[in-house]
Amino acid sequence: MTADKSILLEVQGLKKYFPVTEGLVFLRTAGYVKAVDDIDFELPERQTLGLVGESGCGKTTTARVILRLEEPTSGRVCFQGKDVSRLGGADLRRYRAAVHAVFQDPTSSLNPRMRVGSIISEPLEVSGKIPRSEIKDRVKESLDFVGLNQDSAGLFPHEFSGGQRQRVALARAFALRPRLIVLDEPVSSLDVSIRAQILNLAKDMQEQAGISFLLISHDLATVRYMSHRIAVMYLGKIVEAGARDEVYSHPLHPYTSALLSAASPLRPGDQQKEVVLTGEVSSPLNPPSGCRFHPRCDRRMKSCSDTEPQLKPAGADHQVACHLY
Amino acid sequence: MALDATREKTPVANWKLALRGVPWIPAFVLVTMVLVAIFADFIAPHSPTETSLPHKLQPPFWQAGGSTTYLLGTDALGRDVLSRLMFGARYSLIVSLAAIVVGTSFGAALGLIAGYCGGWVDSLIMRATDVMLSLPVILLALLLAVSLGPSFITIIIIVAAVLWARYARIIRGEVLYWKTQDFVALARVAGASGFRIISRHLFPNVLNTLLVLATMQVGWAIIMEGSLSFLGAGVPPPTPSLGSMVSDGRNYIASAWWIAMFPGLAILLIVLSMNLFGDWMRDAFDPKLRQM
Repeated sequence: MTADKSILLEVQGLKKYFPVTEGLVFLRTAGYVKAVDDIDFELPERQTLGLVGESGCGKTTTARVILRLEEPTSGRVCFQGKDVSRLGGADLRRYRAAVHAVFQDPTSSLNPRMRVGSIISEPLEVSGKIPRSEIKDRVKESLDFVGLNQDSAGLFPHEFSGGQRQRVALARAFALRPRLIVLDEPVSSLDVSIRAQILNLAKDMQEQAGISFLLISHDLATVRYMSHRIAVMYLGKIVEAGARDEVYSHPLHPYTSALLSAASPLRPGDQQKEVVLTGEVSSPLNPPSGCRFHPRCDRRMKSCSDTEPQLKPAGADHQVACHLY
Repeated sequence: MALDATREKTPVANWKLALRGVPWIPAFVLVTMVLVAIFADFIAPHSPTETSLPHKLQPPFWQAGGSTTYLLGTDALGRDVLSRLMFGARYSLIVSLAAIVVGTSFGAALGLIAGYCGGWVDSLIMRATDVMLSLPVILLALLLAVSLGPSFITIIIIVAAVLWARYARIIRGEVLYWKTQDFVALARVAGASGFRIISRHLFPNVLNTLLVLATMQVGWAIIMEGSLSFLGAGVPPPTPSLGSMVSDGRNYIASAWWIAMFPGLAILLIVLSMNLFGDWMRDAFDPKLRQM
């Protein structure tokens, strides 16, 4: 299905461990938080990959590594075939111009001391790709695209509502027409009534400018609405991945089934089997042996606590890491 | 769904907006002080340095024995207190403002660098501030004064050298907070350089703190200058400064209170006005409080 599309972003064996230190005087490393532990995925051009999982499963860390805000412990992030962490000079500048991000909290994402016009024009100025004389027009164009008045450019972020601020954040990410925008929980802090507007804006951007999205969210409805492909993360691992409709209609991994059953049904009257998970998410400092989900799994077998399941194909454009398949 | 609540912006409206809520009394006091300091040559009734022993220790005009020739009386050498006050305000204001500008800039720059860079750069700068803050101020000042020779510039350097460490500390703390905000991460994602992040993102956000700190330190700088003058490491006599006038009048406080009292009152007025003015400035510079 996606074989003919060219791959924009490729993540291979990505690991990110954070050392935990102990001791008052002589610090020593007591262990590692395995925030992201050996994940692989691909993001084709002009598509959206939804990365789903509960809080603390490593979604945001993955995004930060891709954005080069963190160095990977091992593994590679390749953008248009080039290893991102080895980029320097002109290549790095090109990467910075091609990849942008929108974060969850629009208040923290916008500098309270900058006017909206300067916030949006910053990527344009920094990239050096846009002549100074054109910057103003590009800012106007971006504001227009996200449905904000031209006069907004002269205002400060606090003069806007939450939804409008997220529009500003989108306008900034969009201003340079990047190839990829990382959307890290872009609508989680917004009212439900505003969410659709923001998501539709993002979809319009994708259609008009051919931008790829890496959408990170814990909200299944958001991911379903936006994504072409989905990857489900649990405790630093991808447990299931595939085309959107495949994963939503035939969830294979017990964790995915539980997640889906916990979400509101599409139509209020729909009956669905509820799978209630027991127990807490295990600590990423000391993850369970074998399959990381086995302490909470209702279908666990003997082998689950011994051997770690690998991500294997299970149907057309569908992979799962579970001993059941 | 365009935002339609935009307010009219004309130059006059902006100007009025900026001036709204100015604390008039402190502003008046400060402007008067500055004008007097600038035009001391023209308005002072006497020379600030010319002694006149026959007229020594005359009280202010409203006391018995006072005359309107010397409105605020004379000191032990017969110099006119009012004239010395006018010239003293000039030296004290110049020294304290210059010292604060130098100390603030240096301290803020180091604080921004320490907070932004972290790691060994941070450790190095913070240990340096620890050393500065634990040195006995007067001893350091005397050492500097002796090695540089007492002069106008020396005092500015000394006061700035003592001041910068506090700024560096406090600004670093602020930067550590702002650095964790998403807009800094997004600036990096956009490819902004460290210099740009510091100057465009971090500095404007710590400017408030910086201004308030700076205005609060004006009084301290004036007093510091006085202490140095008293110890002979300040502005060389007979040039008057508010601090040295207080020191000079110390010996006569029981018999001729006016010598120390008027410069003391002048310091009080300047410091108080600066602090009130600083409060207003902090609010005026904060876009969240600068409302429509």
